[in-house]
Amino acid sequence: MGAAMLPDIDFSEGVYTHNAQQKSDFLSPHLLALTTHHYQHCSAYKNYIDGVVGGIHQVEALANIPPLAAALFKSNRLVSVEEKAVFKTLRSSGTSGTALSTIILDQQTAQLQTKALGKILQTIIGKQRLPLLLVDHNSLLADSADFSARGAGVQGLAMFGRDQTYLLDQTMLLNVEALDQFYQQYKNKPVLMFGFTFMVWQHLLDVLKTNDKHYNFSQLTLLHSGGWKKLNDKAVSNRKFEQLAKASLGANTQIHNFYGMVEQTGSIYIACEHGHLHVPIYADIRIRHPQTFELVNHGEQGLIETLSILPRSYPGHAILTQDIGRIDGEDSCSCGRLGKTFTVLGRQQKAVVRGCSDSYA
Amino acid sequence: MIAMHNSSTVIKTIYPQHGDYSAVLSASTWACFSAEAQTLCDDLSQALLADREAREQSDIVALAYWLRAANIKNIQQEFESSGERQAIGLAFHIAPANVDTVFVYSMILAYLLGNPSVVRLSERLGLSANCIVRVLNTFNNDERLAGRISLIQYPHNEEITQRLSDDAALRVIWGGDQTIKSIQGIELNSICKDIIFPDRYSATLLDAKVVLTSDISALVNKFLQDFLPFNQQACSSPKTLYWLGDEFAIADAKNIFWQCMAVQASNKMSLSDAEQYQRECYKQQVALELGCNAKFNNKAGVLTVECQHVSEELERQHNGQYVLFEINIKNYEELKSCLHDNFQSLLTLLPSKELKISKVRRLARVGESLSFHHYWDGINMLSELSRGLED
Repeated sequence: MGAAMLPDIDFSEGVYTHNAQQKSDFLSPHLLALTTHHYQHCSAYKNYIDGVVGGIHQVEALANIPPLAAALFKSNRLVSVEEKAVFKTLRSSGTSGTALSTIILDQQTAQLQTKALGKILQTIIGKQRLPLLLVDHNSLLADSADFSARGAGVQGLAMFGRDQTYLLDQTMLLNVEALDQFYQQYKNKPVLMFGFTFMVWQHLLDVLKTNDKHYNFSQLTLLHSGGWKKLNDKAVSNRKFEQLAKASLGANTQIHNFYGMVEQTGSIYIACEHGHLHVPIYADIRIRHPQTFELVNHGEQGLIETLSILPRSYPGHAILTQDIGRIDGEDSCSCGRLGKTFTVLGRQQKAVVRGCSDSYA
Repeated sequence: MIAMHNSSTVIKTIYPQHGDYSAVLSASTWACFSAEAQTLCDDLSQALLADREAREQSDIVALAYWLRAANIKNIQQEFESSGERQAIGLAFHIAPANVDTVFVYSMILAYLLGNPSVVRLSERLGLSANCIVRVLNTFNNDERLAGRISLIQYPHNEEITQRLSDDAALRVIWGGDQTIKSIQGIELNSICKDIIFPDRYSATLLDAKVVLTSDISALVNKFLQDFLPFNQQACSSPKTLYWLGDEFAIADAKNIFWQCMAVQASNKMSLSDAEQYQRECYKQQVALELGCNAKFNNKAGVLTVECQHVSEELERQHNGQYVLFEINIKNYEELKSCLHDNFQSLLTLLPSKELKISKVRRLARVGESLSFHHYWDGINMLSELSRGLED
């Protein structure tokens, strides 16, 4: 069997300009070719397709591509390139459990991720590299499992800014001097801030509030991601988060939450000015019934499946997450962007252990 | 000497209620099978059966049956036939979280053999365990039990586990490989020994010809008694079903078996969304390893996987949720080649001598997967919880 050629990704296409039909016409050849590509180059993925759907010939349409559960990246090293082509191995604790996910990147996939991420970010912040505040510390090489997931995210974003300023030290203490200095220099210019949602809340906004400290950036864009779970424990709502961010950083602050999977770095889902998460051209979102795993209709809630046309070095183009969500609309957002909009409702509850093998948890 | 336990503030004593667990730490040993201990077991048996809530639980009924005087006498006879033995000293039991009754068996055996016991229970007790604790507490001021047994709870805390281990002459560790690894990491005093129950794998063996001549409804009922409890997660829950016989007999037997399952098992295997997700992940893992050699089906709510072989690693990853491998075998030789070192219970209709093969730690009848015997998992608890006079 000859190696299937993967079609090039046309990065000149608009990120949010395709309607439902155009979108599916664009995605289908990419995702079907990826399925065949991984079937031919990853023996475990071949087994998966053979075992679960009965062979690659059963996967003729977008709807037939079966999603691989995110958890499988924890118990298996899934790779579709030769070892010598491996460029980077991403290890991430993900959102739950102790085992690490292993994502194998080759140069090409890493480049595609960067390119797609850049295109998506441009729709929010333009083509300029903006001065960047990172609500994190810069010891990205620290060897703790929890950090590597964050580290990868921070690193990915950092390259789209300039004059990167890390706001925290290793003990998560806010470096007020650095923030003041940055503020003096850029308070009237467009700037970008990035951090994980709970870190922004806990180590920046909450600290500023406690110390009654206020800034008034005139053109700050705050990008944050990483789930609300830790904040839900503290009963922080999206609205409360935005209110405090505007009060502490400036009333004109633009705030964009985004959703993304470490297994699919690059093709992220950014919320528009109305707070709706949008699906970019490089990706798709489907919702599956939590009992049957069948696709459900728009408006019904279920498990989120994320699709991405970027992963070539590992079979991660269709992933079943354990997040609960709902498609709210398609080509209908008042912000003007086409494509699906969706809501992430949270993470599925953990299963209770009932057997003999759990006494020390 | 009374050991000082500074961390006692985080240790919660649940038996004796309002009492102090530390009394047992300095208790002396008793003679094996003392009259007091035996009558206590019988009284406890009756108390459990008299408790309205407790007697509704099938695992408690089985426990009460095991505790009655006649059965304890049988155990005593077997024990005494192996020569004169005596108690060892303080036993520290680490009980599993959700197999509610198992701690009582090891605790009672230790008690009958004259050893004082401290039992660490999970912080989230099931219904049955709660009933047992409540009934035990009606014996709060009973001299036969006072200072012999304490039940405690504490959050994960290596320091406390270390201190209790320092005082113990033996530890009984339930709870699988992870638990054993972390608890065995604790350095022991020279006299303390461990009885461990690691993760195990169990299977049912059905001879197609026997199935075809059996009362299928009764058989399926018994199979379900093994298969359903604890979402199939107990180490003695069957996770593979071996079909023995020729191709045609097996096809016929499977047919009537699953038809009957569809009737008798319907609605008994509802899984929560998270459990379904676990099952889906495991299904994908099986597919990843077996590929076209695995044939998946949903039969009567069970996710069946017809295949020829299951690796030890796949067995280890099995997390219940009603996933059953179905493997056809022509003879016992083929069965032998399928079993791994982690094997525990083989549940079968006719436990013949030929099936006492080396990897089978426990041979039991279909329907008895969860019935406790003091010879458990290849370990004779009577001899492990006592010592010979010359030792």
